[in-house]
Amino acid sequence: MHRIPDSLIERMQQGDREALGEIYDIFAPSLYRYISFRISHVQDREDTLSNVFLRVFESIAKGVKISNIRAFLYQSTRNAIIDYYRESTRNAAVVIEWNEELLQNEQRNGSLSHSSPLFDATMQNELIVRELGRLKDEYREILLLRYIEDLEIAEIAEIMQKSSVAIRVTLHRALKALKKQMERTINI
Amino acid sequence: MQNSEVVQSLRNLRYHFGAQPGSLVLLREKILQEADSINSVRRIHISPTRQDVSVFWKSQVLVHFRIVPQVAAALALVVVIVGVGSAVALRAKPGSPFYKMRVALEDTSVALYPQHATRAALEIELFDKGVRELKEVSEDDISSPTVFAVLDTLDERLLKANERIRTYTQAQLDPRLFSTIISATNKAINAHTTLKSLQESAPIAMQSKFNKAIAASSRLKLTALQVLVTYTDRSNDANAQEVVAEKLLEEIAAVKTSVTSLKGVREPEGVTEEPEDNVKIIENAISGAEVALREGKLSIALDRILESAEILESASIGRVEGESIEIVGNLQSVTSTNESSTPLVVDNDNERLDSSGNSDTSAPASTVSLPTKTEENIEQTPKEPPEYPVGFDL
Repeated sequence: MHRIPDSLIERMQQGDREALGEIYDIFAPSLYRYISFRISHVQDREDTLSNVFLRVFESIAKGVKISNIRAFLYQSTRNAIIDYYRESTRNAAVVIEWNEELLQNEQRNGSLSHSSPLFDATMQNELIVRELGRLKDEYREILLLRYIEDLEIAEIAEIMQKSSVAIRVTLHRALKALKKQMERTINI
Repeated sequence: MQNSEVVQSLRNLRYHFGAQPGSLVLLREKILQEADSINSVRRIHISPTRQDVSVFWKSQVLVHFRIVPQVAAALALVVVIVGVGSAVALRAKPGSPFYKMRVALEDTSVALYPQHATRAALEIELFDKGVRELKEVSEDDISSPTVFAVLDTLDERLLKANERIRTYTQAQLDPRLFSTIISATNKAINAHTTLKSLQESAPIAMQSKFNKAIAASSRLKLTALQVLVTYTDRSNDANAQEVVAEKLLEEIAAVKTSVTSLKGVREPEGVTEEPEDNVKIIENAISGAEVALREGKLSIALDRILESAEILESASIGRVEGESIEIVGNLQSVTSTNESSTPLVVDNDNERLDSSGNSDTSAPASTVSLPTKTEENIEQTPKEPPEYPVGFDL
């Protein structure tokens, strides 16, 4: 877990832009990645990330109490993604898309050959991304936060507004479901 | 496939997905610029919740509390002014600019007491105080406007006391209450006597006011007697009955004096042809009152006295053509209804005026007063009235 000094929050409360910059440096890469799994358009990703940091900056300056800045940032990002799809005309049902283009881009950029030792890894990444996309939203979300973003159970509970026990149970079921789907795909 | 393998595959994803190199740096600059603009807006629309404690304390708390001493000082000043003003006013003598304020404060103080008995006692004290003040101001100059003001106040207070004292009839039996009623009766008699004596030296213009006050004091006296008799009958207190009987005897004596005055005024002049029946009826009533008193029947005695008073009143009322004559005897007052608002006031116990309005102090006790505009009243008085009031020489 990223521990950030309390003084950083206090500086943000005073409107210190440099404090915002420091927090950005710590969390922007992982947040961008988290957004990348959900939003395919690069400009939209950046806009969403920008909105997240500016919203957090305003909230802290208004005096909103924050116990865990990382969980707060992820929660804000999750809400921003939901808002993005809610405002988007392409999907009125507010279903968060799974970004499968990501994997295709990865393949193109990597120029992988079948003989490459990374081929297996790439294939495995493709497989797992695809199977993740087939999971329930809740399962996908929880696996993403736990194993890709490496958040604590308590943080995930805070982000998803559930109890830690419920998160543990859901995480277990999600992993089981993903494993089952992957085995089925491999066997086929 | 093991769970750990799936987890490891998931963990590996984090290294394969991320932002394009340099894109986050550019985004950082953009975000910080936006943050600057947010800051500038914040400075303009600064909110108290975003200020530090000291700023909040100074701008929000201290500003309001600074006003408190000023408001408190203003309120204290008002309280002091009202307090000092009230203290000064309560000591104001008639003629003082604060006299009316004092009267108002005294009336208010009476209204503040919830008990009827206390209010009545206060009203009695107030009219008695008015009588004393009237004596004082009359000694200096009876024709001064101050006397007018005091008379007006006294008249109002006599009326109020008359209303208040009636409440004693429903009061619970209490020896202290009896002494209060006796005291009220004595004070009413004193007021009546004082007013009549002062009226003798009062100018003609003030006679109306005096007569009004005398009538009020007379009513108060009778009401007090009624209350006294009612209360004594309820109490069955022999001592109280004896005291009341003495009071009624005094009243009988007063009525007798009035009857004698009537006779004395009428007979030598022979101006009216008023039947003597009224006098006889009065005398009979008085006799009945005396008999009832001897038998210890206070209520009957009082009824007889009241009866005699009524007849005395009717015998004393006369009319002059074009004028309504207001006659005030010992016990009653008749309101003027004349259109010219120039009532003639007649008191059979006081001085007498001749038809031209001049005073004749040598005449038997009988008074005609022209209240406000003496000359006008004299001019308006008919030279040959068709009918003269019994016992009054116009």
